[in-house]
Amino acid sequence: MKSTFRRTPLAPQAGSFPIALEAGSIERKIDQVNAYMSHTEDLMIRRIETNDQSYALLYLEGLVDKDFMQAAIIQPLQESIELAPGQVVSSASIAKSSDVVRIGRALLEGYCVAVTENDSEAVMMSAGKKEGRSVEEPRSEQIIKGSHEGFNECLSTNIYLLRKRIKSPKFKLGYYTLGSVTNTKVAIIYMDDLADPKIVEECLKRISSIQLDYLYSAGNIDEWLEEHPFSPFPQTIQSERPDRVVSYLMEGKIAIAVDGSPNVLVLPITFFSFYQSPDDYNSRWIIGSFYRIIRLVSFILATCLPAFYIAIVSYHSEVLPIGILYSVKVSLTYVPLPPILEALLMQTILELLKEAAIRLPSPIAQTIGIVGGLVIGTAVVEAQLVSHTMIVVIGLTAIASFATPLNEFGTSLRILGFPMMLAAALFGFFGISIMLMAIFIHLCKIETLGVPYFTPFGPFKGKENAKDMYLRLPRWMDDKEPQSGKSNPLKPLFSGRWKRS
Amino acid sequence: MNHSVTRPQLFFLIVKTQIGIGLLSLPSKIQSSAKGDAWISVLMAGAAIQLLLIVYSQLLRKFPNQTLSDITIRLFGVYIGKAVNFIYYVLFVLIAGYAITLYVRLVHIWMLPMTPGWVLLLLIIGTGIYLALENLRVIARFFVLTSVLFGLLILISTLNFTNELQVANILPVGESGFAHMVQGSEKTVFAMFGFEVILYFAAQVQNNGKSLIRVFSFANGFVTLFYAYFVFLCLIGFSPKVLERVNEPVLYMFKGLTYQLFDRLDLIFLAIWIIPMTATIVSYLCLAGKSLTANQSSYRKLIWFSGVLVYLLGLYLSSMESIDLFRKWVEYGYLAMIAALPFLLWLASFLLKNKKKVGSA
Repeated sequence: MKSTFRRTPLAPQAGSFPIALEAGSIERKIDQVNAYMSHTEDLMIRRIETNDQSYALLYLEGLVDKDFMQAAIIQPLQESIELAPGQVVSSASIAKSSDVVRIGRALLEGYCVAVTENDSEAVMMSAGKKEGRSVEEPRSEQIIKGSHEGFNECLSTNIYLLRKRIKSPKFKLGYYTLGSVTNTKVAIIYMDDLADPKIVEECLKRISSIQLDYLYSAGNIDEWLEEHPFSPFPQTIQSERPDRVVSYLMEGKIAIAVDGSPNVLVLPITFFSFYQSPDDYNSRWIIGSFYRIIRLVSFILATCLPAFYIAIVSYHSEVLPIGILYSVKVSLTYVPLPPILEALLMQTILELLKEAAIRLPSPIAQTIGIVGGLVIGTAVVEAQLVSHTMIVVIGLTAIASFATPLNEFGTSLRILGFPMMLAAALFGFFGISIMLMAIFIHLCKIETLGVPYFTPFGPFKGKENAKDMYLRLPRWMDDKEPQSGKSNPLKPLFSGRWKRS
Repeated sequence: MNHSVTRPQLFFLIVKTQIGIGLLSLPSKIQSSAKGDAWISVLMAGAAIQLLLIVYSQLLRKFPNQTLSDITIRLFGVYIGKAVNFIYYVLFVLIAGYAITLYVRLVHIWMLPMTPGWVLLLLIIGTGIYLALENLRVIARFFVLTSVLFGLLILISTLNFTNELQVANILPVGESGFAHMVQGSEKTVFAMFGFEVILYFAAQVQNNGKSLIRVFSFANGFVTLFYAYFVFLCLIGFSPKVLERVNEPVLYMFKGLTYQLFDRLDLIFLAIWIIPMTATIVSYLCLAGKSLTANQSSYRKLIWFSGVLVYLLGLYLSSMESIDLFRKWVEYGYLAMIAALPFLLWLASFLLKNKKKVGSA
């Protein structure tokens, strides 16, 4: 595949017409740049007079590193004799242009631009400043064991975090600039030898078709890329963890990092990716597999448990043996609401509590947890608005939905629970079966960038993928050789991998 | 886009279509003629179908990558061929309508006695159309996925071994005589309808140049054993007199089981069984679509149309007092079309071969 990346920041951008820098006096040139930058007051101008030349350095105050500029640009220029700026300045990147548009873009990238009296071309020297959070553990995706690094808002730091983990010449990165006003830099990253060229091509095609003024975050791109906007299931993963993204890159997936957003988008993604966590790989395989199974059980619980309960108490109470039936029915006797309303009420309260507590500082959030969880929960039962069993059911459902490693997916599950409950309230077990069927048909139907979403179940790939999907079997059982993908004839057998001699 | 399916997927497509509503009432139906030897009848039916499958595979080998509707057009010419395909279409819709009527009736009796039939019909047809609209690959994915449930069903069924079982019910083996067993197997064949999907789906199997007879045989073997197993369970679980009176012995069998945490396993079983029953409807809708068109967009339109037809037919049949007459006509007509006609086509293909080479075009 030919390289499709063209838009480096200093290259002429398609769609904008060049404005030539007029030859002549320095003042004229400064005016021209100033006008192009809307006479902003943070556009600083520093004049340097040497024996034979006079320069004007233009830069945007907040974007450049002043110490660096002082040492690497101003000082050499002042001391130089009969040498062009390109020869004395010790900037990492230097370019020349007479196009005001390009000069403007360079200024916005944190470049320092030097204009001279007699040369119609301005020299652009990189002097950008990097400021932002340090690398911290992401709050939304904490793990117990393993790397505690997380992405931050700076694109170059994020790329550093990835490159540090994959030191391979096949690690390929391309820059795009999205957002006609914000000019946000976007990096598309994949392993050149592992990623399917067709998928990469399709992804790049979709990205270049994005037309928008303002790119907020990685989630924005997600909306433009996804094929099934009406599906309740997320079709890309947004992760703040470099180790997670690296493992996807090594599976041949594409990562999209957006400047200013700590979330890196990964696609194409499958259903089971949402049930994997870096923790699985950092602990032993038995533990990893155990938690995988627990999480998959949580999928069924989060979507079906309230529905199941509603179906039982309103249609099929004969399913329960007399002992249990008695205790359930007793707690229902004085409850005025039908089970479906009970469930909807409790689910809504739960979502309210979650939504209220999520943005508050943690001491207040704890209070909300106590007031909401304990006080409301107890009072609602004592006031006989909701039955005991329903509280247990909703509590279990909520916990199950929080058990997914990615929060976004858990929320989709709780949302799916609502139509499920409705179906159960209207048609009992039959409704649940039909609804589950509809959900699974939907899962089999959707594809992301040509990859079936429900791999490996949908198109059953059997042993190939199963080892790392619903279970987390040991790494050495993978019978593919890492690089070539061929079968390894010397694969150690299951028993006695390392024998004591 | 390539819409082919793999061999395992074909296996599950066949199995899922065959196993459906028929099994639930099968044991009491066969028992009325074959008595304790009903399980032998099932095996005989499986053997008979196997013979038919050999004919199918011979026919398909002569016309690789062609569905039955292509074959009829080739052998009979465009006009007669299209007329024959139209008959197939009508039969597929009728069978789907018949199956859905039984399905709704079953849900009515066992689960939702108060819910109006038209709502249930709407839900089933809606789900069916939602899946049938997609290409065969997606349908196969879903069928493979839900086949996991067969394992679960067999697991649940083993609970019956804790019941009191009377192996003496089936003894002495062969008591009822050959004629009765054949009668029983005739009824079994009707419950095993669905193998004819081969004639339409096999054309989409990846490199189907190789003989597919092994896939067919495995599918048939699986279905036959699955049926025989449940029939056998019912035979030893019920006394012959009770078995004759019970309508859905396979479900009834679970009613007797009771556990500390759970009662009425029949409802759980039925809730799972809904999925194979719906899968059958999906298959027939898909067959109806494929019998008349090969083009995806007209296929989608036809699925919508057939869905509405099946819905109306289901409504009409549900309102009828007895559908025995309808059942008889459809079953025998259908049997003729899927057994006798392919056989004739196979013979005809020999005649054709003498004139010009068939597979060349």
